[in-house]
Amino acid sequence: MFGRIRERYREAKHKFANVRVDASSYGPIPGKIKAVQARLDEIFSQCNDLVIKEISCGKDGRIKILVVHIEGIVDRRLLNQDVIHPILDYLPSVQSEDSSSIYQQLSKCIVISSDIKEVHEMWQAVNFIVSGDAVIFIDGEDRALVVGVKSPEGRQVEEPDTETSIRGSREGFVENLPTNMVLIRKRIKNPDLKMEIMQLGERTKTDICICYIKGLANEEIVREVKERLGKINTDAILDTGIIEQYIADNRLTLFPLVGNSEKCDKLAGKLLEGRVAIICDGTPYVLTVPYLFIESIQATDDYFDHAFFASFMRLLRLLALLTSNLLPALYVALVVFHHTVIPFKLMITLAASQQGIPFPPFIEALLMIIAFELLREAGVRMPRPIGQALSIVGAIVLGEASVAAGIASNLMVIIVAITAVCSFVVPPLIRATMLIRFVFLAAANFLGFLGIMVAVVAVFTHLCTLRSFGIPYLAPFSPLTAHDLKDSLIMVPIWAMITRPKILRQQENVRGVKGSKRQEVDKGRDSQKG
Amino acid sequence: MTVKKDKGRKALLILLLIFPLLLAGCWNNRPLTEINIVAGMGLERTEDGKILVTVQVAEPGAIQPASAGGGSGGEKSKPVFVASNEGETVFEALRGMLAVVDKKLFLSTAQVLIIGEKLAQEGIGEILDFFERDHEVSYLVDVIVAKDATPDELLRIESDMDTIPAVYIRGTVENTAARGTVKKTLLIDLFKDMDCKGRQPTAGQITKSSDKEVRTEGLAVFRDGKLAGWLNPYETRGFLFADNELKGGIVNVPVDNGKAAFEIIRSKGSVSVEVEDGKPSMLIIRVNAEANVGEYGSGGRLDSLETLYMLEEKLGEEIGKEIEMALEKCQKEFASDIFGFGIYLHKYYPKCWKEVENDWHNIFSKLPADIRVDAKIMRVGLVINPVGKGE
Amino acid sequence: MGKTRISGLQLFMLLSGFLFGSTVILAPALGAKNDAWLAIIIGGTGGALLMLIYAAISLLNPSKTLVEILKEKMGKVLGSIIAVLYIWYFIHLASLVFRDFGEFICTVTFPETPMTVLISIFALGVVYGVNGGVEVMGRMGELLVPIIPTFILIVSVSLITVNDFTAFLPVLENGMGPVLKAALSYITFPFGETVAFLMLFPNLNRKEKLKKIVFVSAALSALISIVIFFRDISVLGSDLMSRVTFVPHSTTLLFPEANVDPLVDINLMIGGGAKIGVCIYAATKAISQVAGIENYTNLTRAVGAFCVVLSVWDFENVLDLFSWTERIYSYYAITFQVIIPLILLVLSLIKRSKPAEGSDADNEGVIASK
Repeated sequence: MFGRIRERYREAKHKFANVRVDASSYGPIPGKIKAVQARLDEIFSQCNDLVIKEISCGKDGRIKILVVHIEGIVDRRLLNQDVIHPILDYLPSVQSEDSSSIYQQLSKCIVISSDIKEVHEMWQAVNFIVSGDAVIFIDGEDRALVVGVKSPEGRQVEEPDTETSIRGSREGFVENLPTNMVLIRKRIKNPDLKMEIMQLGERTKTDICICYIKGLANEEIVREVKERLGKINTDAILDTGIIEQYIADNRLTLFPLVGNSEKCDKLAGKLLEGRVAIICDGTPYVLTVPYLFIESIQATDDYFDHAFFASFMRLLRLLALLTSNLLPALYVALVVFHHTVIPFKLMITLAASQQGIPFPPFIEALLMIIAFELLREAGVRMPRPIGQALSIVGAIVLGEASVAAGIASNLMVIIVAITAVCSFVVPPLIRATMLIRFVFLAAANFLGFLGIMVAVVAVFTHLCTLRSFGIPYLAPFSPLTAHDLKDSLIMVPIWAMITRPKILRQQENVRGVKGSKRQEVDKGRDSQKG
Repeated sequence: MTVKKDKGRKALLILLLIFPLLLAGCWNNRPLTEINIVAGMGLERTEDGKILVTVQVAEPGAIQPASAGGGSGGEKSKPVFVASNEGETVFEALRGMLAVVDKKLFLSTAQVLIIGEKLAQEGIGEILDFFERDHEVSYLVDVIVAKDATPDELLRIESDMDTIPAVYIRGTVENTAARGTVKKTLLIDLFKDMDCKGRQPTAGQITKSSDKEVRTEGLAVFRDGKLAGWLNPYETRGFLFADNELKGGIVNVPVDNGKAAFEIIRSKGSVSVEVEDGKPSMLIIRVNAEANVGEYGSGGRLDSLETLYMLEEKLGEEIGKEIEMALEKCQKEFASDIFGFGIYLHKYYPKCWKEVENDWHNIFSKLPADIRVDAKIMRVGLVINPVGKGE
Repeated sequence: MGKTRISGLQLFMLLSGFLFGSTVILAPALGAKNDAWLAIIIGGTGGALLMLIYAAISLLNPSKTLVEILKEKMGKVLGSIIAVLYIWYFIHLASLVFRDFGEFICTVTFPETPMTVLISIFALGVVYGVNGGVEVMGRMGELLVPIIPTFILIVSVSLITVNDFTAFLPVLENGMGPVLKAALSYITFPFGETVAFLMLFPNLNRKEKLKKIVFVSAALSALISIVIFFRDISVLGSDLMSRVTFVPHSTTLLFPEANVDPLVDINLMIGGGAKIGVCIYAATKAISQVAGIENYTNLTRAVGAFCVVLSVWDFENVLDLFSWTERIYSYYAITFQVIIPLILLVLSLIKRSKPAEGSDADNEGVIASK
C-alpha cells in the first residue's frame, strides 16, 4: 500500500519539476516594448485583474513606458503617489531619446519609493507582479524596475483565539508576512535578528521568512532549516502546517516535532532561547524549531508569573497529560483485571455502577470516548452560533440520558469527562493523545496494567527515538541535562534563569547582553542591597 | 527511506494482527459484573469429616441502587446472600459452589474468615495452605474462630447495623481490638506463626449473642495448629500487654469503696527468657503502661502525688494479674507458647534453642515467670477530685 | 559507521536496571536464610570486583567490544568459537529472564493467560527498544530505571509500621557455609551477568568514568538488595520467607489498605526489560561482529523470537526453573563470567606491557598461536 503511494509521490514530484522548468523559460525581458506587452498578454491571458498602464515620454513621446500591476493587491494610493504622479509630472520635461538615461532617471530620482529593484528576467518580473508589486518596463531596455507597492491590507492585529493568556501581550500574528515581521522586530530591536525571505511553492510563490537571532541560534540548525526548506518540492504552500509536515524529522510520528504559535511574545521568547522561526505568508501560525516535548507543557504565562505558581501549573499540566492518556485505560484495567487492587468498599461502588450495563467496560469506554470526539469535532467544524445547541445535546443526551437508559455507567461518564477536560489542558498534544488513548485502552483490555505498561514503554521508546532538528525530543530529561531542568517541570524564577536551554547548543549561553555585564549588574544590585 | 517505509508496512501488519486480539480481551478479562464479591468466608468440618465452606456474597446493586433507572431485573431486596458447599478440600468445596451460585467467586474482598470450632480443634494447618497459595486471596483478612456457633450461622445473621454482616463483624473485631479484649489476627499472622516453633498462633474469638448480633471477645489459642483452648477477655488483654499489641483498654482497679477505671493510652511490652548454664531458667515479661484516669467516682481525693503513686502501683498489679492469668493458662492448660518466648531464645540464644526446640512445649510450661509492670498515670481528666471529696 | 555514544548516567542506569532485573521478584541469596544480608554484602563486594575486572578489560582494550577483544587476544578461530559460546550465553540469559517474568506474571496476575503470549508481548516491546540502538536504550534506562528504587522505597516505608526489626536474628545460626554458597550464587546472579556489558562499554562517551560507574551501580544494587531483604524478613519472618515463591511480591501484598502488586509488575518490566534488552543487544551485536553483518536491527527480531521460544521450551515447570537456577546455574555461569574474563584480563595485561619492549606484530603472532 505504501509502495503505491510512494510511486505516485515520485510521479507527482517529476511533474512539479517540469513546471519549474516552464516557469524559468519565460526568457529574458525583451528590449522592445511591443514584445514585452505581447509576452505579458500571453502569460496573463484571461487574467482580467492585470492592469497595464502605458505612458509615453521622451521626444514626441517616442519612448513608451509600461507600468504593470495586478488590481487589488497593490496599494492604489501608494502607486499613484510614488509612481504614476512623479512620472507624469516629470516626464514631459525629459527630452532625452536615450532609453537608458530615462531608465536611470526613473530609478534614481523620479520614482520616490524606497523599495526599488531591478530585474532582467521575465519570470522575475512576473513573480513580482503576482506578488503585488508594480513593474515598470521601458521601451528599448532589457531590464525592468520593480517598485514595492504591496498593499498591507488584511486582518487587523488582534488577540489570537487559539492561544489565550491571562497575562502577556494580546497581539497575535496575522496573515500578512510583513506585518508579522514587524511584530517580531518590534519586540527584538536588534540587528542580530535576521530575517531571510525565500519563496516556496512552484505555483503559489509563497513568501517564507526564516527568522533567528544571529549569535544565539545554532548555525547548524539554521543551515539545516534552510536545507530542509530548500528540499521542499511542491507547487503549493498554503499554510505553515504544510511546511511542518515537510521539514519534520520523523514524518510518521504522532507527536509534534515542529512547534507553532500565534502569539508574538511567545515567538520572541523562543527566538531568544536560540530557536529558529519560520513565518509563512498567509498564515498566522509561525513555526519554531527545534521543538521539544517539554515545550508542550510550557506556557507563555509561566514566565510572567511567580515561579512557584508556574511550577505548580506545569506539574498540573503533566498530570492532565497523563490522565487524559491513561485514565480510561487504567479504569478498564482495574475493573476487568485487577480486582485484587480494589478495596472492598470501592469494589461495591464500582460493581453497583456497572450493574445492568449491557456492554463490557472496554466497549463502553470506546463508545463514550468516540462520542466525545465526535462532539468535539462537530464543535470545531460547525458554524459558531450552533455551538450552544450542540453542547446541550452533548451534555444532556450523551451524559444524562445514556446513564439513565443504562447504556453507560455514571462512573464511565465521569471518567470520560475528566479525560476530555484534561486533554484540553495540553493543546499541542491533543491529537497525539486522542489516538494514543485508544492504543492504551486496547492494551488495557488485553492485558490489564501489564498491557498498559508495555504500551507506555513502547510510547516512551518511540519518544526516545525522536529528534527535532537533531535535538533529542525528550531533552532535558533524557538525555539528562541537569542545566536545563530549571525550566522544565519545576521552574526557577526568571531572574535565576541565567542561562538559556543548553541542549539547543546556542553560541552564547548566558542571558543578558554579555555574560560578564550581567554579572556586573548583579553585583551592583547586591551592593545596593547591602 | 525505503527501510523506513518497510518498517511502517510491517508495523501495520503487526497492528492488524494484534488488534482483533486486543479487542477480544480474552483470558483473565472479567468485568466486575461477572464476579460475585465475597464479603465473608466460613470454614467448618462436617460430621462426616468433609469441609464445609460458606461464603457471604455482597450484592452491589442492592447496596447501592445508584446506577441505572434502566433497572436490572427488578429490586433486589437482600444486600447479601449466603451459600455453602461441602468438599474434601477447601478448593474443591469453593469451586463446587459454582454449581450453586451464578458467577465466579472473588475471594480477595473477603472481610472476615471465620473458622469453625470443630475444624480448629482438628487442625487448621492443611486448610490454610489454600489461602496461602491462591493468588486472589488477600493476606489481610481478619481471621476469627467461632465458639459455640458454626461459621454458617454467623454468616447468615442479619445485622441491623450494617447491610453487609461481614462488614459488621469486621467492625466489631476492630472495636474490641482497640479495647484490647480481642487480638486482631490477620491471615498473614497465622501464616507466620503456623510454621514457627518459637511461637504458637492465636486468633480472635467470635460468639453469637443473639439472632442479630455477634460478640467478638476472647482469644483462641492454638497448639501445633490445633485449637487448644480459649482465653477470656481479661486474659486476652493480659496476653496483649505482654505481646506489645495492646492498643488501648479500660482496666478496673479496686479503690476505697469500689472500683476505679483507668484508660490505657500507651503500653509497651516485651518478653524475654533468662538463660542459665545454657538452659532457659526464667520467663520474663516487662510492661510499661501509660494510663489516664477515666472514672474515679468511688475513690477518695486525688490531688496528692502519694495517692497517684499508690494508684499507679495498684494499676500495675492489676495488669500484672491479667498477664499472670494468661500466662498460667497457657503454661498449665494449653502448654502453648503464644507469647513468643521461643522466638526470643532462637534469636539471642540459638545454641540453647537448638537443644530445647523439640521439647519446647514441655519446657515452656514448667518455667517460672517474672512479670513486672510499670504503670504510669499521665492525666486525670477534666476534674481532679470526685464528687463529695473536694471539701 | 559512526559510533553511537551513551553518557555516563545512561550507562549507570542501564547497569543498575540490569542488576535489579530479576532480583526484583526473586530475592537474592535466599539460600542463606536469616544471614542473606551477610551473603549480599560478601557477594556484593565480590560482584563489584568482578565488574571492575570487566571494566578493566574494556579499558585495556579501548573502544573494542568483547567479540573484538576475543578475536584479537585469542586468535581468529578460537576467539570466534568463544564468541559464539558467549552469544549462546547471552541468548540463554535473556530467555531465563523471560521465563522468570512469564512465571511470575502467570502465577501472580494472570493465571489463565498462556505464558507464551505474555512473554511474546514483552519481547515485542523489548525488541522495539533495542532496535532503536544503544542511544535509545540508554535514554529509556535514564527515564525508567529510577522508578524501580522509588517504588521499592514507597513500599518499604509504608510497611515500616508492621516491621519487627530483630527478625533477622540470630546471626550465623548455620555457620558460614550456606552464607558463602549464597554469596557465590549472588555473584553469578546478577553481578557476573554484567559480562554482557562488555559489548556496551565501548559506547561510553567518557571512558575515565567507567570504573566509578561500575562500582557505584554494584554498590547501589547490593544496598537495595539489603534494604529489600530487611524489609521482607521483618515483614514476613524467616519461616514464611523460606516458603514463599516470590518473596517481594508476598511482601507487597501486606501493603496497608490497598494491594499494590502492579508496582512489582512495573518494576519487573523495567528491570527485566533492561536486562533482556542488554542481553539481546549484546547477542545481536556479537553475532553481527562474528558474522560481519553491518545492520543488526533485523537480527534483533530473530534473536528476540529465538529467546522467547527458548524460554518456553527450556524448562518443564516453575520448579524445574528454580532448581536449575539454584544448583547448576552458578557453575555454568562461572565459565563465562569469571574464567574467560580472567584469561582475557591476563592476556590484555601481557599484551599491553609487551609492546614497550618488542614489536607489535610478533606479539600478536605469539598470542594468536596460543
